Amino acid sequence: MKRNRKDPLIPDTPNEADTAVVTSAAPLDGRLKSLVSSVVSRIGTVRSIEYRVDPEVLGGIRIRIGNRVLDTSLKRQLSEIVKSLKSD
Amino acid sequence: MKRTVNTNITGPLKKHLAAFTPEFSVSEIGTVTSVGDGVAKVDGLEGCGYMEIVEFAGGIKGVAINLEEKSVGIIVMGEVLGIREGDEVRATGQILSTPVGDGFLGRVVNPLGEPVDGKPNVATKTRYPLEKIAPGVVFRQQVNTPLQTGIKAIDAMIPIGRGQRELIIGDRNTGKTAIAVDAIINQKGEDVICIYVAIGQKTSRVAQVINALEKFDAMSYSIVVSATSSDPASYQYMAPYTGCALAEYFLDRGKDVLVVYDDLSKHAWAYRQISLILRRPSGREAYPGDVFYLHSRLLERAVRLNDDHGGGSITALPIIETLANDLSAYIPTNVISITDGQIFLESDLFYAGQRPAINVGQSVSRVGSSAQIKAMKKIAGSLRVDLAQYRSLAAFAQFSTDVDEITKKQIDRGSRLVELLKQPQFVPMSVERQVVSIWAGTKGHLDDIPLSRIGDFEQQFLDFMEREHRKILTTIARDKALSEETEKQLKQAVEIFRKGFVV
Repeated sequence: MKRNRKDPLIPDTPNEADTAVVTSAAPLDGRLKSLVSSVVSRIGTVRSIEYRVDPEVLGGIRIRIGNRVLDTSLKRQLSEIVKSLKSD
Repeated sequence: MKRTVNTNITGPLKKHLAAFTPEFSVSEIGTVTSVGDGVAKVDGLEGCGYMEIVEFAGGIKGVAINLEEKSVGIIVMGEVLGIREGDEVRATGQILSTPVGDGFLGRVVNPLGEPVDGKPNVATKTRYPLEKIAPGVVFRQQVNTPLQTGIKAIDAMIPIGRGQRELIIGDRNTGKTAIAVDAIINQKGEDVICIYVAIGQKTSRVAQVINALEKFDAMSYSIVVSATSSDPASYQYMAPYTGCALAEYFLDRGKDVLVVYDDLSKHAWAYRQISLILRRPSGREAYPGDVFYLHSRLLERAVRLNDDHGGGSITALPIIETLANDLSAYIPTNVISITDGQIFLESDLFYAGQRPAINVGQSVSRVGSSAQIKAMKKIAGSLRVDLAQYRSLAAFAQFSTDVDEITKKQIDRGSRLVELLKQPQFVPMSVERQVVSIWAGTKGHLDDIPLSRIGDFEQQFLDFMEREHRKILTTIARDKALSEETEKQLKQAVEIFRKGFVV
């Protein structure tokens, strides 16, 4: 939650947008990591990137900065396919 | 239910998968902090707009209707059981809307436009928003075309025009839905699309209505939007607006539409439930402060557009259920002040055998005779006067043998006209038959027929007219007027018939 930094009476909470969380199915190597960080910088400015491994994602990556998400994981693509089949 | 599996399913599946292109974009998400009673509170979703559709895990949809400083209140359009605290919620960027199109005719759908009649999805690309600002003054035209309900009492004395809002109000089991269904059945061949919105009703009742519409071949030009009492309050809240959005699709194409909201009392209950759970301040009878706006913004979308904008119309028949005939309760007074008139049904009349149980004295149509054909206007005047006189003498009707000759005559005439206005369900009458029937009554041709035989007299007289004097009926239907010549012919016809009628 962004707080009003102009009002000194409202305490500053650590800005969640400072850390990007990147989730992938398997650990990323250096080349992939540098690709990811360039994508992250296009979404928003961050101080650090945290990498997580979650096999549930099946493939692709999921980048979350604060409350904004870019989800190109296989899991999400499959659920989109299921949704599009259901609506037909 | 056994279904045969189509072995050719792999072909279309492969085609669909090959054509599938995933879309990637940055979306806003939030986290569920609490969920229950049809409402989910979500942290995050900073950019979420009012009435924006959001998606929970598992594809369940919700609508954001409470935008607060730290959280968003979302009403869940579906099963709340699949949502857990901590789940992610994604904003879709779409305002709450429903698919619309010609393919919806003959279908039964839920407030999201999804079919509930077991048939496949309606194929359409057009979507209309559920919330819309009603057309302004510049777009409108006076209501001047009749919407024939086929019910004598209504078409003669409380006529409804295309583009009007007429409230049907009464206690439970007084025939409110029956009037609406008869009106829909009577639109056969009139080029009017009908939409029946069932809000908070028993599923068995909705099934009965659909059955009746199918039986009388009315489904081909009708759509049913169903949010039964076991559906979440969010569905019941949205259902009328879905019905209106479906109507607006046809309105924009210059068609006339009739929308029945059955009933708005339950609609107000659902909205009250949602508001109380969202902790909005409550007022009289625990309804939220904007319960008037809930109905006014819905009913203002009933409109008669001028020719520059297509000339289409939406006629609204909202239904309100009263308790103990109390018209001065909160919701009834609200909706009465919004609509252009009301049809008041009384349980006393119903149980005394007067069906439709319309209290003509307290019912009104503020559009009035502008929505009647000339023929009906001519004879309805004397009908109204005769009935009003009868009502004022109603107390003396019990002693009709002890009064003077003139009073006795008025009582006899009035009681016969009241008997004439009785009508069985599912038998809406075309306007020319109504004109002939009421003409016979107001001109005194029934005055010497015993009360118990009036119904048979009318039935047989109309059959006689169809057989021997069909030309008179078609003349009235075509010219929409009752000329002197036609009246003379009618007089001759009824006298011939009276000679042959066995009392």
